[in-house]
Amino acid sequence: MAEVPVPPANLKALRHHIQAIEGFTRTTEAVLSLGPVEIDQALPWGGLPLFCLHHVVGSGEAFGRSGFSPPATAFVATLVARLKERFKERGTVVWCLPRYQAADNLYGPALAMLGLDEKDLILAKTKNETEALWTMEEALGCADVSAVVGALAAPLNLTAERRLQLAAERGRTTGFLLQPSAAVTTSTAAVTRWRVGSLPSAAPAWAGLGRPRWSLTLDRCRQGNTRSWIVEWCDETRNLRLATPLRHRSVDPVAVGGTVISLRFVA
Amino acid sequence: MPDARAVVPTLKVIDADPGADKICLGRLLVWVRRYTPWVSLEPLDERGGASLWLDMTGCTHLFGGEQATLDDLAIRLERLGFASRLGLADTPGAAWAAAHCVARDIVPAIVPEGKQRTHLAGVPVSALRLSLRPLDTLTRLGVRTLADLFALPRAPLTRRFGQEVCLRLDQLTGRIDEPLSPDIERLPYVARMAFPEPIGRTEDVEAALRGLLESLCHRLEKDRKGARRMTFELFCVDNTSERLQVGTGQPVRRPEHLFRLFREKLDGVDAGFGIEFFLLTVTATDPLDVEQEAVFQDTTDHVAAPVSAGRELALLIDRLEGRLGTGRVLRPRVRAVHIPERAAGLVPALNANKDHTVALQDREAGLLHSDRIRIRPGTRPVYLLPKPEPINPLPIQLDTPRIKTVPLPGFQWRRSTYRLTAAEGPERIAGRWWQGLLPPDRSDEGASYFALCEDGGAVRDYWRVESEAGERLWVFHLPFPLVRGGAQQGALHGARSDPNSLDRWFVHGLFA
Repeated sequence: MAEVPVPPANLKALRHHIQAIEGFTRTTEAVLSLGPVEIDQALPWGGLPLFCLHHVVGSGEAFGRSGFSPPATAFVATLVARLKERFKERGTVVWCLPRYQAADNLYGPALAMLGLDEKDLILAKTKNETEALWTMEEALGCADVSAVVGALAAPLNLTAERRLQLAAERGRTTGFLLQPSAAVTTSTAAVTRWRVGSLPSAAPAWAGLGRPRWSLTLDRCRQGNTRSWIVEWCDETRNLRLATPLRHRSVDPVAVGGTVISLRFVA
Repeated sequence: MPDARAVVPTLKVIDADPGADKICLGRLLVWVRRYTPWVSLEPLDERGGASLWLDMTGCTHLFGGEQATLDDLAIRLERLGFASRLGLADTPGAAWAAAHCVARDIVPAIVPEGKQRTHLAGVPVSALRLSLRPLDTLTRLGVRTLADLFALPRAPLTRRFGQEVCLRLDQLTGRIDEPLSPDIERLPYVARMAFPEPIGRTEDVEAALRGLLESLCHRLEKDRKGARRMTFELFCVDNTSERLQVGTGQPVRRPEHLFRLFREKLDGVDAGFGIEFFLLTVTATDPLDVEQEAVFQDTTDHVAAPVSAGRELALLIDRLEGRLGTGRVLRPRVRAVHIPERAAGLVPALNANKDHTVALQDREAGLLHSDRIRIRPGTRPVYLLPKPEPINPLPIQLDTPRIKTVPLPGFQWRRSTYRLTAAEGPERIAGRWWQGLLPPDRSDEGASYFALCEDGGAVRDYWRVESEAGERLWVFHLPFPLVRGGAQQGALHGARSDPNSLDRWFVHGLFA
């Protein structure tokens, strides 16, 4: 079969055409940097696109498959905190929680440490999925809200996700669906789907715990490829950064303690 | 008073209550509007008397003439339990004089038109509404009735008493006009709509509601008020009624917003055989200045800067609260308390305008808000369990690696096993010693640990631990035996009944 060379201009036009059909046209203007340049560049928009719906799920078995994974929650909280800073005046974040989950589970002081101050956060406890979706849609349409997080235990159907996506586009807000790993469906109307899990941290030079390390997987990405990274969260600078995959905890640091220390000196 | 008691032994003494009098007069004022819309109230004077003014111009014929009107008024007032003295005249001054002297049979209750001078000649000067000083002087000078006063030349009177006496005289005779300033009726914010045929379709109800809201909001705008609470009542054909209530966090008078609040509740309404009457009432208002209404269109193509930041948010909170129920829309509050579970609280977002209450409470408790900054970032869990959950530590084995760096080799919690590889701690969080020990009634056996944890009464050593898989948890153990109920006996008892109490560990939070 003869290969037909496609001129880049045509390809671009075609992409735009497909985007227009998908109803996902305006997102390329505004992006949010995730922190590490490598991750931003891996996304076709050069960052996390705004005014659309993103899907964040926990990965693996951490704390049971049905609960909301803390790394995923923290990841969403950091993104939302950045968004809030970007839209200063309309910076409020609405966080939807199922009613059975006591809302004080989400610990305010820790969120404040992640950059999400209490004055910028509104928690809405919802009884069922219908209420949660309604709340999210209302919040996405509010002019004073920058981001909406919906913690939903059950998987959503495509129509509901599509509605949220449209509401986000219309209201110029960004929505995040936070779901446990058990609730993941194969197809999603969200623009990206991230899978966040915890990883053993690198032992620090001092005694104690290192920086929290997450496995960050771009599970689905419209117009883009899936990728996976290992990132570290730095509490002091409130930054995500790529973890240097130099060594892994599987090597027992006690057994090779001396070597490790000398390595560190070299590095 | 003893003298009076001596004369009338059965004398009842009731203290004067000017406040209650005023309220009562206000109600009476509303009631007398049945005769004329132009009514006003002369406030209580120093002698404890008060009058109601009714401008009956053009109204008496409705009640069958002047005399019939007065009779009617007297009878109705008597039925209400008021003794009354009534006077009717051309001018307020003359009417006042007539009303105050009618009991002495010197004047008729009704002074004929233009006959004030002749008919009121015998009235004492005290009927002129003079202040005490000129009245006193006039009495001492032997000027007792109005006839005496009319006989005096005006110029010396003015020189002697100033304007007052002549002014009152002229007001009596009508040479100077004395307008009554009426008490403007404050109509309640009520709108109603009745239908010749009962309606039942949701669209019709919505349309009616919209109309009612618009008319009410228009009135609110005129008065520069905003609604805080509204009631919408629907009366059905079969004599049942439904009542919907909405509340707002801030005063609102935007019909569209109020309509959306009500619409959330309209779904639950059963129209039955049809609704024939609507009643919309604003039950609470707050002042609301003129605001620029945000433009709703045209927001899709550019980020429209909100006219007033937070306004849209307040409306959103109203809507959420209306649909999800009260107490479902919350704001987190971080308090300057060192006990973890007490450091976070939730307040209803609807009342969150009172921003300072929490800080104030903390200050009263001797806590500074800056204290909470001292906590190192990353040392508090993203999820805090509502209650610390006990864990089963794994037994320490001799070949457990790195036993020196972790406080315990591992544990079982929620049917999973966590083997620890790293830990940081301990961070000792002491109880609130200034609040004493557990109250005796809560020192029961099994629940005491949780009770202590809840009350923050125990000293806890917190560790941040990491499992093999990288999960991070916040665990603590109680380093000291518990002293319960404030008695040492309790402590001994507790130690005996639970010998492992020293070794008990709990999970309290999950880190990211």
